[in-house]
Amino acid sequence: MDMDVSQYKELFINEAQEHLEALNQAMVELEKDPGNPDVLTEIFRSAHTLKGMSATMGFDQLTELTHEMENVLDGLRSGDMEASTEIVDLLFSCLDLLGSMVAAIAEESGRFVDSKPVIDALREAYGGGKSAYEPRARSGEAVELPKAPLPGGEKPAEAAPLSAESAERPSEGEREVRLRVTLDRDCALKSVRVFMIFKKLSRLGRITGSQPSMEDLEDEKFERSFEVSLLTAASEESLRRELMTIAEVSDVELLPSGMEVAAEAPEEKRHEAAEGGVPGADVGLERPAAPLRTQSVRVNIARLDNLMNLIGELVINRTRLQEIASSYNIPELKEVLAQTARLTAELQDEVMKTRMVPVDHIFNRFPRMVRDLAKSRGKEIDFTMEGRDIELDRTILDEISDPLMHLLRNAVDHGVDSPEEREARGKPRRGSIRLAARRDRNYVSIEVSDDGQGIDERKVYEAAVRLGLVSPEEKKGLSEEDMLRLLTTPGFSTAQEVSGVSGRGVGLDVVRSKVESLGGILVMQTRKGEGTTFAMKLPLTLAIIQALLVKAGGETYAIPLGTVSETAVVSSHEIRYVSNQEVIFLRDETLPLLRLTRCLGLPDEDGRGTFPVVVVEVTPRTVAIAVDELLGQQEIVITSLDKFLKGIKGFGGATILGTGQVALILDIPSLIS
Amino acid sequence: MMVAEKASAGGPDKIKGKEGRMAPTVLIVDDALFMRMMIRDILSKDGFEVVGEAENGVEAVERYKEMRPDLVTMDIVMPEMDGIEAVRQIMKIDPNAKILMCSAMGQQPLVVEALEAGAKDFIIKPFQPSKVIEAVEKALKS
Repeated sequence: MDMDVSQYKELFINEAQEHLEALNQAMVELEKDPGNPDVLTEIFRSAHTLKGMSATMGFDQLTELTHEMENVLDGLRSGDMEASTEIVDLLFSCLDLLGSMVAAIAEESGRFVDSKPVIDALREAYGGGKSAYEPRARSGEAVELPKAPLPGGEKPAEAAPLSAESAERPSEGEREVRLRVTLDRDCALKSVRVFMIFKKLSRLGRITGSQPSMEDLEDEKFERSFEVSLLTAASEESLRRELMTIAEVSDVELLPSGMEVAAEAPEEKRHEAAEGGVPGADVGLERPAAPLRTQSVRVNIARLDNLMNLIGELVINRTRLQEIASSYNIPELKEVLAQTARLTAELQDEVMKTRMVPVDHIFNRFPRMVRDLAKSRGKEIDFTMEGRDIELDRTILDEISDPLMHLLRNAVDHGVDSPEEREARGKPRRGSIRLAARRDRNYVSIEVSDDGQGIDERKVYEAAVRLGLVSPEEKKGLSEEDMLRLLTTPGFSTAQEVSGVSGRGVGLDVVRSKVESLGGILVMQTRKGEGTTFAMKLPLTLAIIQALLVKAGGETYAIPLGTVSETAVVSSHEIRYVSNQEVIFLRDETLPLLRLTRCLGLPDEDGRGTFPVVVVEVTPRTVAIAVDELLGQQEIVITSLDKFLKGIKGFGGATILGTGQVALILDIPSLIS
Repeated sequence: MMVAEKASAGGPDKIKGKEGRMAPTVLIVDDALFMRMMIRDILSKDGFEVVGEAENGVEAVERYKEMRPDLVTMDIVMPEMDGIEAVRQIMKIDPNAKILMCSAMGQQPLVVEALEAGAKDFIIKPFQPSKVIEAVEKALKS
């Protein structure tokens, strides 16, 4: 009877992927420290668990591959083999293969993954001496059984005659009994069953012989049943009952041995047996309270999304109620609402926490990737990771996985210089790449830095001129910000083949737009000869943010508070011009002034002596945005714009205000670029 | 995952003993959540009460002390402490403990070692529910 395992598939995939990630990480460790027995044990264990899981699900291909892998790992563990580069590479490709098999299962694509070459290579590696895996083998290989079951150190009854005239003489009270034991048709590990039967019988009497011989039984050279004879004082019934408590023993027959038999099948219920139970414990009466540690439940991410949406709605309604309370000035309602506000904030906080996942979730696959890439590019790179326990909303984390991969790939490919170049430059042969996550107020910053030669400003400039992105007359000196803007211009990447701008443009535009679509920003720092750092500044969560509401041209807009550094009031005569651009002075700084009305093509409100500005900082740019009115700070629920409106520059989404009115959320990075 | 749970499936005659006793209690030990879920489902469908789970040998020994289940299903290869060592320790605490090893193919020597250490029986992955139930029932009887 096979069981329906399809219901466990999702769980299987999740756990299999976790094991594969752990394996990849451990393999990277092993490569650094080939002799480390702890790492090997861990790898072995993970592979083994994976094998058991796959076998249970009936994924024979996975099972076979993990089985072969296990053999190699066993060789490494026992010291028969060495973790040479070839073996490590082989194991890595084995992991890759396992990964694509699991992926194929997840996709339900039925995509065929050819494992033969890797399996052959694995077999060759361990010499193929060990058992090859047979899917759903009836019985495993025979096992060398301990001789314990046989009477005291005597030679096993190799060819002991099964007769009453055996060498053994019954002592008092004993008589000879012959039993025929039959195992289940599909009994696995028959030899171990034999071992258990003999062990049990040797406690009840003295075994005098068997048919077939002990040796053949050990080698599983029998079909389903065999005979044992023993001298015992125990009743037939108790012998039978004892043996029947062994799983997969389907029948025990008493054979005539000069004595007639009258054993009846004991009809027992398992609770009767349970009664015999555990001394000192009141079985079934005292249920221990739920244990305190590691209580967790797996919840589908869609459910959490839904919960977040509901809380979003709740926040909108709460804000509306607050508005009503203040316009009608009802103190009691205000009081209750203050409580409600606290509760919804807590609720929101809790739900947010459930959505938070440590960045390690995606980080842990990078060491392997960097290692492979560095190897294929002939570079020597030390890869370090920091802040792996920093948490981020699961959705954001999933989204930035690819962009991060991009940045790391760029760092290996174009950031770190080759060992020869490095030596020529007087730097250590091994380059380094650092991936670091940091929590910074309401943001998480994730940085990828390398210690390569940095981005060549001149080359970027030349390429930009060639592409007509900058006019040759423009200033020669490009700021980092300018460079990043150029590098992230779609199409700039194609220029690199011509210009050889170290290929930095590859996919950078995609990285930037992804980060910005998440409400984050991409920053770059580069220093000639010292290296480059790309940093993603990401909001902790997507759905609900703090925003500053402003009015311009009669409309209300929301500015995400994360980008706002301060607000100020400026009078018109403070406006100065620097190369045709309006600027204001704020303390010691000159800030470009951006009139929101003009930006959005709205009519200016003329003749005002003073107006408020919102200073926004999108590192490294700081800009003062002039608005008509500051309305205040509020929690808003972001609703994304649908596909018709999505392309409009300057807007990141919309929100419903307490009044029921819709306000557009300004996308500051795109607005000021 | 470790909340005590009343067995709900199966007929009442299966769950309760003659004197209206509760269903036999089981502790599941396996490092894979997936495996634990599967064993739990198989057993609770048949009227057993899964009272706890543990993901390694150390936890298994602790859980055993706390809840004294009627039966333990024990994986062999686990982090922290393997199943065989856990069997040894549990047998020291309770020589009448009934432990069923869960083994993958190709682990005969380990299974034998576990049996020598005091385990009552074993089941082989991939699990067949009928075999699991048979082994559990037989082990409870032994």
